[in-house]
Amino acid sequence: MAIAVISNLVVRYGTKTAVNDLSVEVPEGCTGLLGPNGAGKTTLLKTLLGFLVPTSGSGQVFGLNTRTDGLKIRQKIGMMPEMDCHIPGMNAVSFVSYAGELAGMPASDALQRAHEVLEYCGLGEARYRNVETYSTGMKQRIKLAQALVHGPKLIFLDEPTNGLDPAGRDEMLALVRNISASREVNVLVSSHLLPDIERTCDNVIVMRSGKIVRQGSMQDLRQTSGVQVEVEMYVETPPFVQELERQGVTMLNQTANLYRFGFPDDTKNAGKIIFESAKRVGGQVRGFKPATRSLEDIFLEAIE
Amino acid sequence: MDFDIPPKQEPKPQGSPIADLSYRNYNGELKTRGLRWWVISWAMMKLLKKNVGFWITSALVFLIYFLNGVQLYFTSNMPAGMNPFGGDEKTKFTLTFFQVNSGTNLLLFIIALTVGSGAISADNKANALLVYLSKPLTKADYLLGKWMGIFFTLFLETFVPSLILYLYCLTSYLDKGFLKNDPMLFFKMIAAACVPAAMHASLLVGASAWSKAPRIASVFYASLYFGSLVVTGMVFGIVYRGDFERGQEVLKLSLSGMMDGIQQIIYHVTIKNPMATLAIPSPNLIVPLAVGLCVAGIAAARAKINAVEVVKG
Repeated sequence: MAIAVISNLVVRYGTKTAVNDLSVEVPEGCTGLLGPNGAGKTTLLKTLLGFLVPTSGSGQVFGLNTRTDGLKIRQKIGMMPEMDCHIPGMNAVSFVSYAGELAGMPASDALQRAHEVLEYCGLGEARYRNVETYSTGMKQRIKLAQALVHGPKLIFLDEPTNGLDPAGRDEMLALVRNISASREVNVLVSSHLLPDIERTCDNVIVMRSGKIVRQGSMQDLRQTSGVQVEVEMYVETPPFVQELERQGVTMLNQTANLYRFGFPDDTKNAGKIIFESAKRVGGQVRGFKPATRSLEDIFLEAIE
Repeated sequence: MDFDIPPKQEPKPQGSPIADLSYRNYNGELKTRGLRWWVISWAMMKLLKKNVGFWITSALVFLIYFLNGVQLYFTSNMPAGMNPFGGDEKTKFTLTFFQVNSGTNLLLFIIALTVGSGAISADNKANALLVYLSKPLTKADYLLGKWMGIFFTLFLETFVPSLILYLYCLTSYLDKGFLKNDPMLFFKMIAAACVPAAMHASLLVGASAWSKAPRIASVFYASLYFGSLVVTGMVFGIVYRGDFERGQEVLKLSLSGMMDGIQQIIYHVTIKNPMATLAIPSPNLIVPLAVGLCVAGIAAARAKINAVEVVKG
């Protein structure tokens, strides 16, 4: 079931078109919104939240119209914005419980939930410190905590690992993965960092110049066309490549002793061909597996 | 002998809910949207708890009310004809309430700056509008919450000491015609407390929304407040050459003069002092002007409050 359905959406800032005739269905689970800077990712999120009025087209989130049901949609959504944001003069507990109260939670529930969410986001020890004194990593975590406090069914994470060091980034991605694994919350992650999306998302939407250029589950997108195999040789073995090419196999790319070969579509037993060819040229096969495409391949293909 | 390795024991989950670090969603009660502006107002007022400047200024306001109470005690116990403050016995209490309101207007302005200058500008600086407006709140909820936060604080700053003074008069001067001379005084007191609170709140939300730092909003509003005083004072000096009785309508066109004038209209008292007798000003000009300024302040704030930067061109 789709959590958001967008049809022929056009969003313009004055004369500049940020989103151009975009139609997409966002599936349940964790979805990555990928695209280069200026692709329209943040504009799409803001339109879904009802912050921007589309020039034309329509959008629905959980069956609610983005033009008319903005408040109901925001009741079900948590937003972690890209830029730093906090309520001045508050410590983490006050800030997060205040965010809960703004979403309609009773004060006592909001306070209890604030403690729970801050502990979950790894800010348990720093929860009574003023948010203005937090480091960049802690500010990212508190943004996540305020987005989660009222129990949303969908959270928008806009560049969640911005400004984080490698350890902080790992922890943030683990949190995102953990949230989506709970199956109670759907996640839409907007990022231009491919490894972040690769590590957290089940589905990907790739945008370029305000349009969707690729969409699907990570598993489907990674599948290669035809029969492609990755072969690891003991050392670089040019005669092995020549032997395979003689049999109609194409070398797609090579990194040192690691090769990727494309076999004719009707190939039944690629493994046998590889081992027999290696044996003929005296090469040593260390390993082989069906090739998959990396997210980088998918992304580069899509935005080319 | 049984040499089988016993099956591995799974660790038991901790008893405390906080020890369970897996994600749990909230499925509890959510209140209706109608009350959410109050959450914002209440949070604003709670943040004042730690503001020393606010408490010092508030203490000064209370002190002025206390001194007026003391003055009332002495003048009420003096033999007839010896009262240095003179005045009409029938309007004595009403005049006291007007004068003490008028006398605390400058302090109220300082409190207004403390409470209101950062109301929206601090949120602009910290990008807090994204937090507010990504929750199920409208721009109107947010603006009403901020406006009410300033209004309630300033209203209470005037109303609470006024109420204490009123109760003192009620218990001490009932036999001297306190209720009989002006039975509507309590309601006048409430209305008069609303005037500076509403004007400061409306103009400050406007100034604050257009600033990215509380200090800039403070400077802008102080310039407006004192600038209007200087301009009207100059016009008064040039045109009326110090004639208070003829020129008071001009003086009532400054921000503080407007608040003073509307309070005088509400209390319906004529001020007699050695320099002049100041009649009740006409409401025809200052009331619409004050209302217009309030509307302009709120409209300016509403135009500026957006969750996202509005880009044009």
